[in-house]
Amino acid sequence: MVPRLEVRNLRKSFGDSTVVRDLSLSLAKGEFLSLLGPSGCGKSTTLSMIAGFIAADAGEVLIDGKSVKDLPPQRRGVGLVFQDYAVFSRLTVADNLAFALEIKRVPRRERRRRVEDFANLLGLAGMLNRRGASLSMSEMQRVALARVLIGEPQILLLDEPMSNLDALLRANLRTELKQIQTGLGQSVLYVTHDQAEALSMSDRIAVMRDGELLQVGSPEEIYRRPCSRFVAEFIGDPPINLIQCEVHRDGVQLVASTVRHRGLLLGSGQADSGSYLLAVRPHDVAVSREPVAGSAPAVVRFIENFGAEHVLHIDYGGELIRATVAPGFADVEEIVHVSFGCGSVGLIDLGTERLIEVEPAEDRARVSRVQAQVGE
Amino acid sequence: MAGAAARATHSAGNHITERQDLMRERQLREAAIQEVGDEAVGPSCQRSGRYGAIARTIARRMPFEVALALPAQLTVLAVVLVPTLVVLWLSVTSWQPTQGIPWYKAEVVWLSNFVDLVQDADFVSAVLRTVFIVVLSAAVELFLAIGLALLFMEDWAWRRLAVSAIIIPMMIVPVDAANAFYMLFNDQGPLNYILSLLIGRTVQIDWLGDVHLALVPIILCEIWQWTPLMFLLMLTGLMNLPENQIRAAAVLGASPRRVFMRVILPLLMPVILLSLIVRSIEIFKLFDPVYIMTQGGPGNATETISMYMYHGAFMFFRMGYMAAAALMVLVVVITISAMLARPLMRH
Amino acid sequence: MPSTRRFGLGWVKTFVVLTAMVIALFPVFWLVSTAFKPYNEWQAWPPVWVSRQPTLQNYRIVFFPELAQKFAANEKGNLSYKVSGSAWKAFADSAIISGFATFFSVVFGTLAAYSIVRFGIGGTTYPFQFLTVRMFPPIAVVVPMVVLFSALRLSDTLTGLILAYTAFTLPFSIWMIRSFIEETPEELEGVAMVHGMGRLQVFLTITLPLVRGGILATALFIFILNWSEFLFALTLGGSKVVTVTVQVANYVSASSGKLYGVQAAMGTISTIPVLLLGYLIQRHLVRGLTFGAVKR
Repeated sequence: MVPRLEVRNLRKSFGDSTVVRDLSLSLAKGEFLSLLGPSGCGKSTTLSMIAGFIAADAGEVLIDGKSVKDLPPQRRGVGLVFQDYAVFSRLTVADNLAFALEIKRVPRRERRRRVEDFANLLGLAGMLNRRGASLSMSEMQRVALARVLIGEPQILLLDEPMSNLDALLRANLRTELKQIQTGLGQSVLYVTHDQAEALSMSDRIAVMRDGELLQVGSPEEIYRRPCSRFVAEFIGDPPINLIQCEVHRDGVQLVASTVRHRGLLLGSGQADSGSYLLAVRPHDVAVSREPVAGSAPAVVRFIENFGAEHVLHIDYGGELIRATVAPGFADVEEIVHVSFGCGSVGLIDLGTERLIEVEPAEDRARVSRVQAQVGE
Repeated sequence: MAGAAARATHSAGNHITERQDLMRERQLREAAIQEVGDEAVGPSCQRSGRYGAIARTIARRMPFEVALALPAQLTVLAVVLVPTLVVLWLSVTSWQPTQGIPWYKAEVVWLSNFVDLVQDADFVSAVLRTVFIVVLSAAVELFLAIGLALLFMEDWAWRRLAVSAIIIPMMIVPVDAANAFYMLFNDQGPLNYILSLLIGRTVQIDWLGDVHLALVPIILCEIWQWTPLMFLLMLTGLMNLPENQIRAAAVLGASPRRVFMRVILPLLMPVILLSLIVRSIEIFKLFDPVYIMTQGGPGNATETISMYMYHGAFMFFRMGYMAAAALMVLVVVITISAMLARPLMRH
Repeated sequence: MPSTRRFGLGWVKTFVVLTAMVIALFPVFWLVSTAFKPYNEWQAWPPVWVSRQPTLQNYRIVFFPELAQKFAANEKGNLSYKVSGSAWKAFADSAIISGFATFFSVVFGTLAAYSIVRFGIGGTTYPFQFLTVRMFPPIAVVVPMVVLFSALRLSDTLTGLILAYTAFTLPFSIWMIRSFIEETPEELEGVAMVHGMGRLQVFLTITLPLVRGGILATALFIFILNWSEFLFALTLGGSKVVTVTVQVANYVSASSGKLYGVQAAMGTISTIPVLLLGYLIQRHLVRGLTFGAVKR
């Protein structure tokens, strides 16, 4: 099947700085793909090239298998929601929604029907006669979205559409946007720097940094098997723990020692003996009040309260590591017992910063899990 | 803080005492500000002798902010308000300086000046002519300026140079601009020569001497000189437009024409209104090019309100009559500006 | 987001822009070109675009009017030359009047603008009172002013014109400087007050230095206005006090014999200061002419 959107080896520089290098990407029909990266990574430039605002230095953009190189933005069949929403401030909400339909010379009655449909879909029914300038940010976002969706674009491009909203609205809109997208079967390319947005809505996530695509995969893959140190650190909240360790190979098993642990069984993986960073998600750090096999005692220095869960900052040989626990599990300056290992860790090569996957070795993995559960 | 504490001691919900408290609080605050202000004004006004003492007393009595605004206010009163009062007086007299009686002893004719003015064909035609020039020039300037400014929205290599060249007319002293147009529109001037080349036979029109044509050079001069200002205003307006709204319209499939009509023009409206008002006020006063090029002639074919009043006051010395005319113009201008000023500045 | 602007213009646009430039420059070119033409080229048909024998004769006449009498006698034409007084005198008068009036207008304007911005003196309508001044057709005020000035012995004096110019440029200086002061942070003054500075001291040492550039731009802008002013200069001055604009007008109206060259010579030199200052404050012209409403 021809992908809805395909980007091949796209490249763009401004002056001396290359903003996008050899970026390739594809978006299937009805797919929700997020382009995730820190600000300045080239994701907005990529979007502009797909939309046709700026010309690529090299590479191709194909929509439904056809190159759109020579097409201006309005003929590419893309809908774009801008970061500032760009709602026509002097027109009413109804006129904003009807804008694309007027251009397509949709008959008046049909036009009104569709405006009403989309106004209902996005909860704008009560404000059709208000002017763009009088809307709040979240209302503008809905108008911008409805205005684009009403034209039934092949691809919906969203440029950081949530960054102007406050946290509560964002959480609500995430689910709403996802529902609308699946309901309409709309193909979406969503540009964001917020990993939570990307994780919660996307079918696939493409992580970018310095103009390069680092990894493309499902949210689960990106979270569980980040390809590099950067991706591991960028995804996940609270952030991943990175702990210095020495690894030596014992048959197929990799065994690590850190400042506080000796002989940590990791599992099997493509790693030689040497120095690495041990990557452990805070959720995968097992903390117990009593010592268990393979645990090391450590002091809780600081507690972040997130309501439903607490994040302990534990003094792990001079460095603080984070561990997620149930509320009320421990107090500050209390001693707890920390363990981690098999099946839930990765190794990061200090030189290449690539992540080396570690598979749990059958029998010992089970033992390690049991220990962790006892701990909790 | 103190007020809040005091308020807390009162029984809850007692609105009257609460308001009294607020007032007292404000008084205290103002008194505090007053003290600071006195300290500031005091030393700077210390001079020796009796006058110093008087100055100090005045400074102590006068709030700082009033002292700041005073010089400007007094100047305006002296040069605007007092003459306006004089105009009020003169307008009900038939005073002419050539009569030999001082203006304050002039003969009172009550409203007969106004009655005469309304029936004065020269005055009425000067008013209509001025309004015509205002509407025509402002409209043409706006039209040219928007068209030109749209070309300057994109960036191109010699854009700055072009802007600098195009705004040169507004940098010229108006009298000199009129002087240049006076020469250009001469019957043997370059304009007629260019027309001759275009038509193919000799044209030697006496533009400024022709009753039907004399307004043309004057209006063209005004348009030439002030379209650049309009252009700068429109360009500033266009460059400050939210760029994404224009892009959004383009992505939605709008043609450049539709983008302009539906998005750019509505967004530009405040700047357009402001420019039209500012320019209309200025054109309404039109005098310099008329004086230089035609002195209102031939006959009174180019007489604007300003030119008409100049003639009446400084050639025929009908001061009382002209004061009445001035008063009528002032009333109209003040009424219009009072209506326009606030919505204008709100943008 | 990167800009969408392109380089290069279509040829239609290029043609339009070039035409606009030519139209804008042509009258100025003609003024300059005529200023250097000898007598016989002033009114030649076909017109002389650029003189083959450029001369400074016109400028000599402008600066030394006695020469003009001789000139009129020498040439065969029937030049009746009536302008007395040299350009030197006009320049001196204009410089004195414009200089003092600008100074007073800007000083008074700064003080009033500060009072308006920081203390909200007179409420929101107060600044409009000054604006109204600018909406008056000057001629309507000139009639009574002539009467008053002759009673106060201010007619045809430098003082009288300085007074009139100060008042009529105040709306510009107040509104323009107001817009500059509004752009300075008020918190800074609050901090200085907390540290025990008096209000005058705060104004002089904190706010004033911040708007120095703006005040300078305003001053130059107002100087341009004053230098270009004609109606007041013509009616309140005119015989003992002659500004450059009146001098230009005198040449034009004296040229029943059509002294184009001389007229153009006076025209060029009278506009040069304004032209230079104008480009110097190009960035602020729009702000000035719209009373601070449109900023860049």
